[in-house]
Amino acid sequence: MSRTRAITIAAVVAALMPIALGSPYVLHIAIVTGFYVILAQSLNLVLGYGGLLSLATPAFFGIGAYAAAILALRFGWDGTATLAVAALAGVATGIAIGFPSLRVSRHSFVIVTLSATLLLQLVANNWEDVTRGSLGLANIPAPRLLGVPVEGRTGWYLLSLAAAAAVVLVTHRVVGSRFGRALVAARDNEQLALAAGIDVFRTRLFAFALSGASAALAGALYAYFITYIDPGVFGFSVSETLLIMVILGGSGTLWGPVAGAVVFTALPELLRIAPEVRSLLYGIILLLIVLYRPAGLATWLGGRRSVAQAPPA
Amino acid sequence: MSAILRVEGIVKKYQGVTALDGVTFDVAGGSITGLIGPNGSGKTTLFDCISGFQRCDAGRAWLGPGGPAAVELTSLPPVRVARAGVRRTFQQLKVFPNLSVRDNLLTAAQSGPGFSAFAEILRVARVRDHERGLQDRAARLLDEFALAPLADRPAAALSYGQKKLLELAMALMTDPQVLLLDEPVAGVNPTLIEALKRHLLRVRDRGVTLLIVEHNLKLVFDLCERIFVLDGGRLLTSGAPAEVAHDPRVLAAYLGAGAKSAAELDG
Repeated sequence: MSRTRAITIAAVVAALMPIALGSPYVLHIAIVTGFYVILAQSLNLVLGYGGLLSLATPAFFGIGAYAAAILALRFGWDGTATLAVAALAGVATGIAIGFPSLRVSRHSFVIVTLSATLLLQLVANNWEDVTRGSLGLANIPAPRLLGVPVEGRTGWYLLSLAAAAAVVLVTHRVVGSRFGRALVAARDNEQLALAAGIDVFRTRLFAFALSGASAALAGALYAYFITYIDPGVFGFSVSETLLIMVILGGSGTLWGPVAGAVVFTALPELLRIAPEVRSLLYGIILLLIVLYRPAGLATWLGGRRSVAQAPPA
Repeated sequence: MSAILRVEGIVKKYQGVTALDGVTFDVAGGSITGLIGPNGSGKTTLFDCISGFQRCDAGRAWLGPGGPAAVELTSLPPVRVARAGVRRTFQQLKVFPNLSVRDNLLTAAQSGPGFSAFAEILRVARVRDHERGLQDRAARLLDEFALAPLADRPAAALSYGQKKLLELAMALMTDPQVLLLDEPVAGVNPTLIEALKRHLLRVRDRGVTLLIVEHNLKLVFDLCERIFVLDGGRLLTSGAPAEVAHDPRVLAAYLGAGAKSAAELDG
């Protein structure tokens, strides 16, 4: 408990640092880090707690981004409604992709989730009437949330931070619930879970839907923040980055993917001090973590691997 | 006593190999019933068919005596069989290694009516009440199976025998009507076998019907009121322990011809 408190205090202090530093560059990185925290947590629910190697996170992210962009640009919706609908679109996408993919074997699951993501990218590229294809959607207006306009980098940072904190909190609640235990149980031993009366398929589908909601939320925030999106939002490189963040952060732990998102967003930026050897150093650091912290950075934070802790009643 | 589990002509074939060839029997409610037979005689396959893990090619299994209230188990997936009140254990011991002993028990009781992931996550009042009930139940089972001191350890840290106890306790979390136990004492030391025996008798006394597959024939003859013998996917014979133990066909099935008494097989 005191350890959790110490981590929480450290997290709050770290979270306020970018504002204290006041550099627009640092704030920009910090805002994007918040989006990555949400995405990593989205993948963590499915991969870490559910044990499912899903490559569908960019699909949810892209759907959220396009939903927000189209609603804001074409229909002039305000930010609150747009974010809500984007999250719901993520839920729908999660169910649509989860329904067929969770019925096939584990290997096929990876392929089906990847195919679904690529399919959505194709749609974004070719349905030009709606998405303007590879030109992308530009000049997405700044959102108003509950009547308050989101302005300036500090405003954006606070929003990104609040959204990331909310997703971490919800994830904590989810994995500590009986539903979360069922998800972990199905990951650890599917046959025993079935024999114990756990509806493994529905449990996983629900996790997929939740994962879709949070990743789509990140997508919508991203679209608003950058004010421009193109079919690249469905790119496989997002999956790659997220897998590094979740697995090397500590999959199946609450704080591991948060640490992973922070470290692996900040690291490439820090390495700009040595641009010639940047990629090389990045690779070496990845290797060192794999060698010395194979269970993830979370082992430093004392996070127990994948044991769902019940929230206070 | 009326039958609580009825098996009618179950056939299961694997690519030409007939694992079960029309097995029919009734298990009396509230009894401890044994299912024995040499390796490969189809015992585990039969459990798989009853519990929904395998689809049988013909025949049916029913929960409950005849009439409209009976549940046809062989048409249900494993989750629904478990929720109908038939729980099983596995020959290959299974617990959730990363969950604590207590969470193993809580997880084994997912099948509460009206389980809703949303309600669970929001922890509405009904869920909190239900969870308290489960916690109480888990605490009682932890005491009963002498696992209370280990409640917060991960199940992976338990000894083999303790895992066997946990497995049995998990199966009891939801008040099953029928327990299918696949080798409940395999690989367990003699002291713990005696303890498990007492547990099984107590479970029976609570009204749970037990169907036990076990190679420890002494245990089967000690505990079971009635024994069914499978051989080559067919029901070879059945009867009270004394009848089965001295049936020459049972000896022949286990050892080939020439042995004197099945009762001597396991001392």
